[in-house]
Amino acid sequence: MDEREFDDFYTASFQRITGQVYAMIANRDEAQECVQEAFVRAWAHRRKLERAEHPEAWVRTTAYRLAVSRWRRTQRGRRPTDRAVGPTLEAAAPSEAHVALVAALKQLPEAQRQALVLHHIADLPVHDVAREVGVPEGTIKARLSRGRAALAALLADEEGLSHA
Amino acid sequence: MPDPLDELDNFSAPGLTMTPLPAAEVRRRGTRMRRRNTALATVGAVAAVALVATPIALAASGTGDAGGTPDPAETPTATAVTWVTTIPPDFPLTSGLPETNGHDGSPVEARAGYEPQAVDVCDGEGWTPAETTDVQQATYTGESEGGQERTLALYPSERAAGLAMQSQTAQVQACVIASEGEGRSAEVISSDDDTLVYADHMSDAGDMFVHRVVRVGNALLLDSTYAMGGGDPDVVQQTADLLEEKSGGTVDAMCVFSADPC
Repeated sequence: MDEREFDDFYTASFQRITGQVYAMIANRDEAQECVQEAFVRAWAHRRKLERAEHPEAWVRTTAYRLAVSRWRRTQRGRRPTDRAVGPTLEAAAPSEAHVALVAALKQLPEAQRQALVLHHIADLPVHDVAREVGVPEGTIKARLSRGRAALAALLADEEGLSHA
Repeated sequence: MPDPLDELDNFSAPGLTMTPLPAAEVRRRGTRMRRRNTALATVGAVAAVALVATPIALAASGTGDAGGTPDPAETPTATAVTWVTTIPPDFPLTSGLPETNGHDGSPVEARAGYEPQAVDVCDGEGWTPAETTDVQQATYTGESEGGQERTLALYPSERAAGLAMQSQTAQVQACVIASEGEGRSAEVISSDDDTLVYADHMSDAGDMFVHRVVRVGNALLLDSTYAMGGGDPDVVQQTADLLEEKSGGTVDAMCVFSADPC
């Protein structure tokens, strides 16, 4: 991958990947930082990236792992609290439905949230989600099924409360 | 409220202020990272060579821990300590492990020597018993596949054990860099001067070995377990936590190898 190819790849996919990682970790600033760092690593390992079947998946997985590592450091108290996962800055007011969806996603178990994001937001087929997450397809199907049901229930509760 | 699946399928991140670095800056940082990684990998190799070469050089010059010019890094206490270099017969190496193997019901016992059970992601990543004075290993085999192994290794001095720890950490960190983005990859879960916890992800199917190395005085304890679900960070962390919990009794007993023995 030469400089121009990398620049095109970066420009075309940065925002999309950041949105997907944001949906997984529910923190926009953290998502943006991790995706940025993942692209730095992508260039550092560009020969590896050339061999990757799905470069975008490589960057997304790396960014997600970075976010998880940051979370671990936070949990262990080694990281200043101002860089911990927490409330994020909103540059423009999102819709009520969007806020409810992000809040509901955040309440799901991490594995279910990751499966839903990769399948529905990143638009990956089940076998690609399984490959990216590193678990059997059946596990992903189960996580999707449970995640959808839980998400619907959470959003229904939210709607009931807002109408009450 | 719209259908949640429609919402998911049309998800976007409104209000997300995208101020990404210019692509040229990303490349510049990536190039700098590659140079740093190359340097780190070299340091790992040098540390491994130094671990082997130092005792040889000391032996060739007729000096050892008891003689020669004192190492400034060696603490005053360390030079005065007589390190325990043989594992006591009653040392509880199997504490926290099942009493019998799952596949044949045979007892789980400590035995002299070391035989690696785990598979490494990178050549030279795994610990080796070079320069140890005594080694014992206990291996538990599960009913179908996998299990756990625990190894206790003693070194001539605290400094030698510290060097072995540094070398192991450097080798694993070099492997993390070399295997990033690969189907088989290494991941450091936590690391400090006396503890190293890392996972070797063996495939995209989620199978992994989780390793925990702990140093107390002139002793290293190496715990490894095989587990599935390595694609889930929570499972990796839980496996590491379980490894720590199971080895608690053994680690506590390692105080006999410290500079101020219990």
